[in-house]
Amino acid sequence: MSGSPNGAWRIGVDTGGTFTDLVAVGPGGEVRLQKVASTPAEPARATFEALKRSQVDPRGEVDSFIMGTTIATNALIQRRGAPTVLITTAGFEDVLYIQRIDRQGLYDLQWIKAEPYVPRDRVVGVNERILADGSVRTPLARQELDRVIDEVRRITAHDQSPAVAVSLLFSYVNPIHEQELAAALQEALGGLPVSISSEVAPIWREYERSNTTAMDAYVKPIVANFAGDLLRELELLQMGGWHGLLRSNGGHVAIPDTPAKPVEIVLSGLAAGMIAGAHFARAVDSAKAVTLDMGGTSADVGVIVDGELQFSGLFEVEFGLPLALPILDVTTIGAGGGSIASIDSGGLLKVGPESAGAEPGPACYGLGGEAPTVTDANVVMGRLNPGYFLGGRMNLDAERARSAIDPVADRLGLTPEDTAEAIVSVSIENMDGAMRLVTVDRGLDYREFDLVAYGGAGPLHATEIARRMGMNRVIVPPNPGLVSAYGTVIADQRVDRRITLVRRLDHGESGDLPAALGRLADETVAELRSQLRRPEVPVDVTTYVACRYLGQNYEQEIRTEFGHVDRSFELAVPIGPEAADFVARLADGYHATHKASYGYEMRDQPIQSVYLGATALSETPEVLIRPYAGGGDGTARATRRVLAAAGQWTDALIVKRDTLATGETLDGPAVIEEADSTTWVPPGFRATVHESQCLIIARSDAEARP
Amino acid sequence: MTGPSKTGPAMTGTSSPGDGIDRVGLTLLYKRVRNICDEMAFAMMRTAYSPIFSEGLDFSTLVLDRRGRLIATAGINPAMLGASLYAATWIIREVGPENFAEGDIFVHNDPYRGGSHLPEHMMVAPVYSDGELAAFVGNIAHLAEIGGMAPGSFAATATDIFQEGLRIPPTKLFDRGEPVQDIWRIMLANHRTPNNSWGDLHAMVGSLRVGERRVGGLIAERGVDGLNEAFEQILDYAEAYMRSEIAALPDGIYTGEDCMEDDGISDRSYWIRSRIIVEGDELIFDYSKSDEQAVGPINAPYVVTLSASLNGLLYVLARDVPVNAGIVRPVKVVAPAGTITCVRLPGPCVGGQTEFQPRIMELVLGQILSQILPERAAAASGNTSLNFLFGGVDPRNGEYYAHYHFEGMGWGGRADSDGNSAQIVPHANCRNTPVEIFETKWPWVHEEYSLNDDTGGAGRHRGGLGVRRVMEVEGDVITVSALSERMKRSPWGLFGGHDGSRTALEVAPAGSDAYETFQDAFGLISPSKFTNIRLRRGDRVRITSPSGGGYGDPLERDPAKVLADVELGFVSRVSAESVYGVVLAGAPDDGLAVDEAATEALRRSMRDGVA
Repeated sequence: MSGSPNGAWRIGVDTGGTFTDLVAVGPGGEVRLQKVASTPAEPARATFEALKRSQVDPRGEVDSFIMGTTIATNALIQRRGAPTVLITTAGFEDVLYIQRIDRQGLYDLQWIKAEPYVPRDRVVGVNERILADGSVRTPLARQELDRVIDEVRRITAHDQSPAVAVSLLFSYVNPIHEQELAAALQEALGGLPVSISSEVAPIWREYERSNTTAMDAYVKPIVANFAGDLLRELELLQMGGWHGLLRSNGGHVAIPDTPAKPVEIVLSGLAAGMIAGAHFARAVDSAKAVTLDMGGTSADVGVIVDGELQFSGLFEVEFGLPLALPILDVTTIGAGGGSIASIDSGGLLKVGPESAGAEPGPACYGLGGEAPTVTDANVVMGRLNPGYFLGGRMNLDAERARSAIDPVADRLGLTPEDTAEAIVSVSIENMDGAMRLVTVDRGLDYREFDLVAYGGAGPLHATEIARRMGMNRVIVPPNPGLVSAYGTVIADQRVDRRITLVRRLDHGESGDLPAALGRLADETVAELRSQLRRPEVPVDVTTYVACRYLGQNYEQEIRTEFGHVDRSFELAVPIGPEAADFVARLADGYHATHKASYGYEMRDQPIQSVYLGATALSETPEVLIRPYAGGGDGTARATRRVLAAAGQWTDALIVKRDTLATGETLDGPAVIEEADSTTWVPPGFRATVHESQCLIIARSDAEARP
Repeated sequence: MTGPSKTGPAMTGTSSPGDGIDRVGLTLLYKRVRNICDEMAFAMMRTAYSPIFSEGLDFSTLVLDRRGRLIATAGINPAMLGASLYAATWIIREVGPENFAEGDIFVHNDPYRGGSHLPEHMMVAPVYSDGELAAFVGNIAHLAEIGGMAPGSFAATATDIFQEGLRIPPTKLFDRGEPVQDIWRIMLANHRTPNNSWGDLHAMVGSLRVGERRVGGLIAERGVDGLNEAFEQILDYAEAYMRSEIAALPDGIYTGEDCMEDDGISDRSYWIRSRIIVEGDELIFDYSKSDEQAVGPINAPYVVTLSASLNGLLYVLARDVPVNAGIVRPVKVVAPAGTITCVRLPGPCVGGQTEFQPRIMELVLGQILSQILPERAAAASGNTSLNFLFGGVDPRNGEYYAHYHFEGMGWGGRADSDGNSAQIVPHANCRNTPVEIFETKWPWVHEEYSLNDDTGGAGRHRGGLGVRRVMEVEGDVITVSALSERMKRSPWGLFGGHDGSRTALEVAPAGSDAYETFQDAFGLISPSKFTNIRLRRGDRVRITSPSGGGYGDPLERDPAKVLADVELGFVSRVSAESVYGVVLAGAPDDGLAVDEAATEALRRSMRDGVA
């Protein structure tokens, strides 16, 4: 399918730290791209500036306007959230300070533990207690409710836009006390936003759940304001269509619904890139792929299996500050174009994690940076064209790049050129290590995977990484630097919910599992239905049960098949004899999964469920984007001396990407340049232009694959 | 903290650019070997049974060369460094390299053969290439229950190693890929929770299989000899790194001492006396003047003393050095057999790893190296693992359980910052077990798990706070034991900082709020070390972990920080005045403020009082 449904515009915006990118796909597949400087103080401003420049008429036919935003991320990172009160079970008020008692660096005696989002004098303990089996040991008395309300009133008396988080022990088993507290607070202090842990993250491990709930409350007022600003502006523009924000789970949510559970948009910005990565993997029929979004300071790595992005239950904003929600499984490492090279005490070369960032940036930016970076190394190697950075909008200073590298070269006893090659190699090895962990930790063999590379710096390094790791093909989407904005255009609507339910599958106690799963699926679908952009569209729901052998502490998710849904949505909830069979099949599925991941199964060991999950999904129609006019006449080609490997200067073909035609091939060494990125094709590799306009890079001697 | 400024490393004659060493290739190879260790660690964490593995991460994974020398280890538990360096080598020497076969796995936990203490089991598997022995992979992990005189296998009143659990010399657990069933049966028959042991041992095996495959890939690329030559260079590199760091220290002899307060058997303390001799690019730890070995289990086998010494060094000297067998070359550790620093058979030693090791480590870095590197040292942390063991039959399912529990505590104040609160003892890096997992698994109900206010050692930089845990017995009977320290002597302050607070282990009988120490309640010799106390339903236990010592004079602490501490409740208003000399004005509800004039006057008079 090409273009937009109904011939209307689909507008996607990605607001990053440095740039705000807009992609608008119009009738017939027309694509408009905009890259403008971000306005961190008022994130909405750059968005509407980009929209204005794109010249899409907001009052015209607009199908959707969807944003990926870092507003919640930044509030957490920069600690600009709301003054928050935390209510805990009495005796456990220090949960956010105690954390998990480990540290980040093994030999880092100077390490400072992460500061909680809620300071200690804003924590209120409430006398109540629920036990592991859900029974009430200490009831929550009325006068206790009143006392807590008075405390909250006193603490927030002088606050501007405060928020409250409630996280009580074992609320994931029995939420009654949290619900009573929320209702009482609402009644007494109406308008005060309240987040309760049994709704935000009903999972065990009190620290992870409490911290996630505290984060939710902490970003709530800011996200609510932001959503309000957007809606007002959109109304002024009289923009039609569906208006959504991207969630950390890769789905999007209607802007007015965002403040209900704002912690869900913490990874909004990262999710956009991964969705697009998965889209382009599907476009070239890649079932298994690793996505690599490499920018200036960091690289985000995700995994695609069977064409689907993978999900994780845990993300750390910084070490010790976990966000325990189903989110797109992304690992961020400190490796980017700005990563700084240095020599360690033992005389060996080290690259990153320190970064020159956007300011002062690499030495070659000429903005005052003096430390040698990966970008400088690429300039010295001839792989980056100093005259065509950002399509020529910024000139790189090759001389500065070389002088920055000289001192390192002296220490290594190498030429500056070979030093540059070494810097890039070490940086690639850093990414290699992270990518191995991302796959192996999940029981996946990366040698069966393709690598989808984007972001400004991804395509420059991807083929070397894939070669080193023995991965399959490298896929470079069109406009690699704008891929995240594409992601917002094509994101689905999606709701994920999870509940903890610890049951032994070999006991009668698991009898309520199928019904609980059915209820969860119902609730998840109902939540999505309430937010749908088009009520008539079909909804899919998938369910899963996380299991482990009794005694293990980590679980694996088993997708369950019974929850099939027809397009009019009727969930088949298994009851009666079917339920018993379901549990047995679940056990079989777990044995098989454990064996596939770790090489052995333990048939005579009891299995225990840990949590149940459901995902409701409403798919957005695919859109095929063809940003390049094509050409293929061989014009604008040149050669340049490029360092292909240590000591090996060679003439590389230099091509502008928008001149390539579908099906055209290029043999490395070649450099493919475009305004927002550069792709390096090493000797021995061949790039082919796929009909999706992705570049597919594989070994020249590999069997040609479409 | 940044590394010391260096003009260039002393690469011991191999540093010239034309030496034929591919430095970049070496970096890349080392990173790959580290990645293999990390992959092995993930496999282990995710499949283990005991929370001390899976939540606590009390394990390490290793890649070793064909002679059994440590090439790399995953960054999990530094306490196992000594065993990582020596246990595998011991297995290979005792078994004989010619007696290995592809698919074999050896297990070993003997502290008299290079291990740390009985609960820590090492497994080693050879990696072959076309029938040629090419390398080894290994791991070390703390099994929660291995038999012996007390559930949890941390017998604080053991007087010989045979009371501490099942001792296994290097023994074949898998023979050419097949489990050696007789060995498995003997081991599991001697553990109180054989199911857990079975699962944990399998997690270790799975991790080795991951390592075998990945090292096999390296061999395919480089060949057996090529890989081992490169390994040699990685060892040389770590050696050079250490030498360069040591060379930057002023030559001299530096001394310090600290003690273990008792051994669980009698009420006497055992002193560790350390001399550090820095000479050029080499360094000697000399413990010859230490006390004779104890009757109880606080002794250290040699590798624990070595581990502690190296860890102390790495914390202040070379925290980025590749940790492998090369780092030991410029370092010598002298610990005569028969002293508390090198126990002689059949002395017990289970507590050496958890209590003695941090004591030596902080003696080295906090009391001794602080004399030459004050900006990188720290005051004493709570410095005990606060081992609390329990076991019994769970009334909810009739199954026997046992658990090895440890506690976070306060770290000592540092040159630039306060000590962290609720942090694991620095020689380990384990996590706590969440209350919700704790109570789901074992029949206890917590009443409190909180920070212990107003206890951090005062200083320019305050010691971190310890924690207080109060929990009630939900089973009919739970058998508890403890092996701890810092009940008679406080964690010390540094450079004028005050001492931190001490450990407490208390108990209140069902229905009573009258807590007394276990020592008083049960007539024990030691307040911190006891075994097999039977508690009944409704009895409550209160565990208080120690706080860290302060760094620098508390009268030099920024009054604004004292105010913040008072506002957050970390320090009381009374202590702010009496210890820090900071006078606060106002009422807590309306906002406190520092009364600058009164503070200055008070601090002046306090200083004069001291003078």
